Amino acid sequence: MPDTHQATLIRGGHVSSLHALSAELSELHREMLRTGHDEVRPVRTAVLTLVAVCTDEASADRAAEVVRRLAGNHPARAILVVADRNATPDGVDADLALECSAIGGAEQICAESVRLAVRGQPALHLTSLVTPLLLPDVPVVLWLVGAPPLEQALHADVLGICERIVLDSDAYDDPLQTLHALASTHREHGHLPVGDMAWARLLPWREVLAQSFDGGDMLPFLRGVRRLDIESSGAHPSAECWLLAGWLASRLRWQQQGGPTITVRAREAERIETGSILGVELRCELDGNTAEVSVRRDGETTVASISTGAGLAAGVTRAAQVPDLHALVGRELQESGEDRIYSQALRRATALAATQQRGARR
Amino acid sequence: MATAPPAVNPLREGLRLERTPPPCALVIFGASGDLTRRKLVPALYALTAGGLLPPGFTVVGAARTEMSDEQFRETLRDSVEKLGRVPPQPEVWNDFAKGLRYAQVDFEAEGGFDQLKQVLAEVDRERGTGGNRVYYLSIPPSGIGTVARRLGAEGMSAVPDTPGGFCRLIVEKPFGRNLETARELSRDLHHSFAEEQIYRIDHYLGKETVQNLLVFRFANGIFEPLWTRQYIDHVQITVAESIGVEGRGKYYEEAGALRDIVQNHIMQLVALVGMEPPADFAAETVRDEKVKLLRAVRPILDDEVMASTVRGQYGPGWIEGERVPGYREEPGVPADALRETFVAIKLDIDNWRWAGTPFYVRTGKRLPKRATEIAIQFREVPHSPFRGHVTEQTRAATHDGIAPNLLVLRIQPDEGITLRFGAKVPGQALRIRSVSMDFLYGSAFLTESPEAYERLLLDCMLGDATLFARVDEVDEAWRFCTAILDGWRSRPPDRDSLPNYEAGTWGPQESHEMMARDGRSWRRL
Repeated sequence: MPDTHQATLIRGGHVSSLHALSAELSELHREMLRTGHDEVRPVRTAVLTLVAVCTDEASADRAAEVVRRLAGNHPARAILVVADRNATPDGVDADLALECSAIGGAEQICAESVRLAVRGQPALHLTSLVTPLLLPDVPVVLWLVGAPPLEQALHADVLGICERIVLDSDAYDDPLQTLHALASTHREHGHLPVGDMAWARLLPWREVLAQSFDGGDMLPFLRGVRRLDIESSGAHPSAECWLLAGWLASRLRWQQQGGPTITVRAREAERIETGSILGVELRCELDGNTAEVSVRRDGETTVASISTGAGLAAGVTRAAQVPDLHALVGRELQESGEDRIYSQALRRATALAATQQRGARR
Repeated sequence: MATAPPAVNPLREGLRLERTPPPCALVIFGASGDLTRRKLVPALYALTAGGLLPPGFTVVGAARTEMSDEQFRETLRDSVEKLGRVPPQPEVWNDFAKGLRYAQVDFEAEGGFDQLKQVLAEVDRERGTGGNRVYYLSIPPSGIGTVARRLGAEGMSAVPDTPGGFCRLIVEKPFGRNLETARELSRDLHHSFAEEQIYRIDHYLGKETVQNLLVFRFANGIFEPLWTRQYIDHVQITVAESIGVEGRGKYYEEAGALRDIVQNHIMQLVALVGMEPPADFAAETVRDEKVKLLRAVRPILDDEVMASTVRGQYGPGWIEGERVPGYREEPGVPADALRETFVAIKLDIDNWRWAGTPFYVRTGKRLPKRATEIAIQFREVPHSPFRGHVTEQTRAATHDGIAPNLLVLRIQPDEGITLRFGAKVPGQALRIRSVSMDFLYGSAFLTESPEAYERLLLDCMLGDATLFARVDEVDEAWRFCTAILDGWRSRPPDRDSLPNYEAGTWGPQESHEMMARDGRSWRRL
C-alpha cells in the first residue's frame, strides 16, 4: 500500500511504440485513482503541452527537473525529446511518468511526462512524432533545452503549431548568428513567437534604465542620447548585449545614420551566473545640458548613478533578481504569442551588429 | 529646459508598469501607529524593491511622539524585516531609508505643523519631489476632520501648479458612524480638499481576488448572460472571522459588525457582484455603476428590521481546539455589552436584473474559520428527468434530489473559483452526484500577488481612483446601514438574550431561521 500522505506520488511506464502511449497514460491515471487514499483526490489537469527538445540525456534530466518544479503552477503534459539522428537502428522509445503533487487539502495535481528517445531518421521528423501527443485545445510551448539545432525549430510546420518557442540565444556558440537566424525567420514569416531567455535576463537592466529616466528632469534627455557603451563578460559580446542595444535603438527610434555612437564590447571577467552584462553607460546632451546614466552590477544589486550638468545627482538601487532556469521557463510559460518589443529589439540588434562588423572590417 | 519633455517614457513600453508615479512625498499622519509598521511601510518598501516608485520618492512620518529620522528608520526596518512580504536587502534598504523622514506634529497647537512644513520643504529641495503630496491619515476617526481642515488652513492641500502635479488625501474607514456623521466627515474633508483629491481606502478592494471579480464577470462571455434573476436563485456573501476583537474591545463597542464590515467591505462586494457592466474601466465609470447598484438596494424599513436582519454576540467557546472567551469577557468590553459581533441581512435589490433574487450577507467574529466567499446559487432545473437517480449523499444535501449549480468565488483564503454541477456516477445504473470543478488562484499563476496596500498606494500615486470609494458610494452604503441601525435602536436586545451564539459556531440560530423562512439555508463553509 503506497503512502498517500506523501507530497508526491509517481507512477511510471515504458512503451516502445507511440500507439500504446495514450492507453498507457490513461492506465497510469486509473492506477493513481485506484491506489490513492480515499481522502486524496488526484486532479487530472493540464494548461499546456510543453515540448522540450534536448541535446542529450543530461539536458533532458535538467529539463525534467524544471518541469517537475513547474508542475504545481503550470500543470502540463511534458514531452521531453532526445533526438540523435546518427544513432542506429531507427526507432523511438517512450518512458512515461505521472507525478501527482499535493496542492493543499485533499487535492493533488497530476502532471504527465513523456520522454522520447528518438534514433536515426525519425529524428529528422520530430513534428510527426510530437503532433499526435499534443493535448487538444491548450497552448503548445516548444522549449529548446541547451542549444539544439535551430533549423527544425524555426520551420514553418513547427511555428504553425507552437504558441511559443522558448530558447536561450546566449546558449549557442555564436549568439550573434542565432540572433540573425531569428531575425531572418521574423522577416520570412512576419511573426516570431519567441521567448528568449537572454531577453528575459535583461528585464532588470531595462527596468533600471527606464526608471533612471522617469523623473521630469531626466525624461527629456532620452531625445538627446549621444553615446551608448555596453560591456559584457566573455570572449565576444553576448546576445544580451546586442539585444539591449537593439532595445534602446528601437524604443528611442535612433536613426541608422547620425544616431548615437554605440560601442558593444566584451571583457573576460568573472563569470556571472545570471547574465553576461557588466555595465551600461549612456551620455546625453540636449539644449546645451548634459546627463549621464551609468548602470553597473554591484554584487547582488544593480545600481544606477544619474547625474546632470545642472547638478542633479540621484541613484537607483535594485536587488539584482537572480532568475534561475526554473524561474525563467516559468515566466515564459505565462506569455503567449509574439513579444513585439523583443522582435523590434532583435531587428535593430542585428542591424547594429552588421553595421559594427562592417566598420571593423574597414 | 526649453524643450517640452516627452509625455511618456518610451523605455517603459512592454515593462510591468508602463507608467510610474512622479516623485512625491507621502506623509503618514499617525506614523507611530500599528498600520504604518505592519502594512504601509512594508508595502512601500516592496514597491521600491520592485522598481515601481521613482527615484526621490520620500516617506515623511508625522505623529505627536518625538522621534529622530534615525529612530524612525530603525523602527521601520525592524517591521519590514519581521512583517514585510519582501525582506530588506541592505543596499536597497539603505537607498529606501534615505527617503524616510520624520516630523513631530501637534494637530491642535499653534505652529504644530511647522516642523512638518520645514521637512517637506527640505525634501522638495533635496529629492526633487516638486511639492507633490499624498497625505495618509492613519489616525483615530475623531481626528480625521481636524487634520484635514488643518492641512487646508496651513495651505498644504493645494495642488502644485506644475504639469502633472498632485496633492491627495487617503482616509481609512470608518467613514463616519451613520449617514449623518459620514456627511459631516465629508464636509470636513471637502472644506480643504476637492472630491477628486480624496481617496477613501478599503483594503478589500486592493485584493487580487476582489479585482478578479470584475474580470471574471466582464471578461468572460459565458457567465454574464446567466447573471440575472432569471437564472440565479439567490446570492450569499460571507465574511467570517475566527478571531475575536483582539484587544480592540473599546473600539468594537463603538462600532459593531454592521459598521465594521457590512457598511464597507460587504456593501462593496454586493456592488461588485450586482453592478451592470461598465463601458470602460475608468474610475468614474466603474464607480458610477457601483453607485447605481447601491441606490437600488431596498432600504430595510423599521417594521421589517427584525425579519430581515439578525444580530448576534458571541459567548465563550472553542475554536481550533482552543478555549476562547466570550465578547463580554474581552478587555475593554462591559459585562452587559449589547454590541453585535455577528450580523446577517437579507437584502433586496430593486432593479430589472435582481428583482426577486435576494442577496443574503453575513459576517461575524469568532466563527469557526476565517473565510470570505461569494456564492451564486443558480435556480434548480425546471424539470428533472432524473428523479430517483440521485445518490443518497446528494439527496441528503438537497431538498428534492439534484443540487442546483453553485458558483463560489473565494476571496480568502484559498483564493479561487469553484463551480458545482451534477455528473453521472460511472457504472451501469444512472446515478447522479454533485461534483466540483476548482480553479485555485495561487496555483494558476507563478507570480506572487502583491499585498492590497501595495496596489492601492501605487494607484493613489498614479491618480487612479478606481479601487477607492467615492463619496456617493459611502453615502449610499450608509443610507442602507443607517436604516438598520435606526430600527435596531428602537428594538434593543434584551440584556439576558446575549450572548446568543457560542464562539466556534456559525452564528445565532435566528440566522439559520431567517434563511429557512425563505426555504433556503446557509452554505456549510
